Amino acid sequence: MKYRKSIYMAIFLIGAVLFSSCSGSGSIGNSSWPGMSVNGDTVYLSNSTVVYAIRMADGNLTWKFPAEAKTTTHFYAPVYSSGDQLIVGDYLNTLYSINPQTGAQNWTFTEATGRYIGSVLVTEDQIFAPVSNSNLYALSTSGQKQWVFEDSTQALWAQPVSDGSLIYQASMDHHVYAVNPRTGEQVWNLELDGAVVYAPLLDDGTLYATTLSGTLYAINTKDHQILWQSAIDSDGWGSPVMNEGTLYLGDLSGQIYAINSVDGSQLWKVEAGGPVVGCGNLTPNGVVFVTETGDVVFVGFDGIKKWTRSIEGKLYGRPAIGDDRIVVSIMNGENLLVAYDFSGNEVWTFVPAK
Amino acid sequence: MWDTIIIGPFINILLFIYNLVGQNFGVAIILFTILIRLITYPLTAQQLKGTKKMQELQNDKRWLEIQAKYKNDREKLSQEQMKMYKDIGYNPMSSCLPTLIQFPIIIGLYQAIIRALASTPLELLGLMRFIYDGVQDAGSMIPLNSSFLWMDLGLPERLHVPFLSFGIPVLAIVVVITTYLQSKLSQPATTSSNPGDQSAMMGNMMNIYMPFLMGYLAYTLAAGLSLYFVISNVFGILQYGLMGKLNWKNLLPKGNPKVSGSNQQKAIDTKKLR
Repeated sequence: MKYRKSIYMAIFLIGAVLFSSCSGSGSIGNSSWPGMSVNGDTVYLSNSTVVYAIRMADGNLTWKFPAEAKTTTHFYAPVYSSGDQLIVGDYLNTLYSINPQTGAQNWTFTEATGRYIGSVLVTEDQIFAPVSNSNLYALSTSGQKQWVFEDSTQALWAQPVSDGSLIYQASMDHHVYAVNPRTGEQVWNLELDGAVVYAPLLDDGTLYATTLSGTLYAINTKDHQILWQSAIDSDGWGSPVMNEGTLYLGDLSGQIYAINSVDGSQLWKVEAGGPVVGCGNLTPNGVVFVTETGDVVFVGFDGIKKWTRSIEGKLYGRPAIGDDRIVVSIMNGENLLVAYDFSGNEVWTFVPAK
Repeated sequence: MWDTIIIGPFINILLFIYNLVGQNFGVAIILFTILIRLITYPLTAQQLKGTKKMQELQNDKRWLEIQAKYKNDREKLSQEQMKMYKDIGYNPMSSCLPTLIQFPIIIGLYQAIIRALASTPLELLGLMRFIYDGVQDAGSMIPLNSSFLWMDLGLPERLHVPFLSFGIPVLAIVVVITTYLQSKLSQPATTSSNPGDQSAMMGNMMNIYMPFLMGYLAYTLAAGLSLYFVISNVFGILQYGLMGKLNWKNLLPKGNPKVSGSNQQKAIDTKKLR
């Protein structure tokens, strides 16, 4: 009888463990695709437990942070480079300041109770950090909290943008907020038709924001009126980039669009070959996008595809441009980074040492 | 296949209800749970039939004879009991069947809840792929509002009060209590106290271990799943109540147990001796 009881007890315990395992992690996920940014001759890559600083010229590692990776810390937000410090947040509610030369930690900020999904914005004397707990934090450049903006009702994934007088924060709660950078008070807000994942493009007093409902908005920052809105074929993830009055963006159905920034009319569209989950980036001769199916697509400003390169793995986010190189970060691939020249020739690859 | 058959439909039904009830995910889970209970009602009814058969068996002359004859030979007793179960068409597992059937539903629902409450870009992308095109407007719905009362449905539930440094797992406690209540109240009123009676033993085990198992799961997993457990248990009790099958006496301390099985035989023998 006791033996049987022990058997049943063991069955229940094993069942509890198995159930917890089969059901996935305890509560929330802990991974996403790498975040990437460029400053001068260095590419910064936030990937899993480490932030890498890699030389743009040859793909060699300069340093990694932290020197000894901790399994509990995950970095996916792009690094923001601000002269004498790098600012990056992790998935465990910590914002780090890092020395760009050595990769040493300067300070941390741990008061936010959420993840850093998007990049921060740094102005002359302030840091603005959007957090997944729906708050926007303003810090001094030495990491002291100044104010917290709490009007958003959903997570903040988009990097804030600024025209020098106001901070514009797009939110997953379908709103764009204008915030006074000194006081943290809301100046205005505008409701859109869907969540905004990426930082809107700010150009000459107009915000261009893409929503997950597949609408591109042009918003006048002075009177927060919608100048125009343009529907794209599918859900829009990334924000547009602009060249000489034309906006370029991709969508999840795999289309790349060129849109007139004045009236929102579509100039052309071209097939990317896979979902575009991120933004494009500008080169002197065209726009480069990456697709989830592993393609790097270079499109001329006239809508003609110049070249496509296929990579093993999934490509998300925005390709980095610098030093006449196009650098793409790869998820689930053999390499972590690949760099091409503007003609599509592979220049180097980066694989972190194990 | 699992995603196509279980997760996809679960997510879309949840989102449909979510939209219908003013974008409240907690209420969507509650209504979804009730829907699941209604769909699995035939299993519950089957369980009750089996329980009734078992009750009748307890008073069967042949059953009592077997209990007396093989009281010192547990293996033989179990064999004879199983023969009798076959004869009357009763499966001892039928009392566990509704619970066991619910396990894939629970796992599917949990995965659906976690995917619906996507908290990273990769997860959100994954969620959007599950939403049926043309049926629901994914772009306007997501991300979902995960707040319900004091909880974040995507995280383990804790109620934080000012004077305590730790959170109280209120839902986990309620899950333990309601699971225990449902097990006890739905158990037949007369239960054999024969130590060789496997079905009774299994039933007693379930009453003890199941509440703690469910409580542990509620403590460690997302609050959305705990909410499902609570509503499922409460609705189960209500179902039994509406069928007139609740046995409130099972909640009372056993001061004067009704005799049955070998105890009844002892009573007969004792009477004969007088």
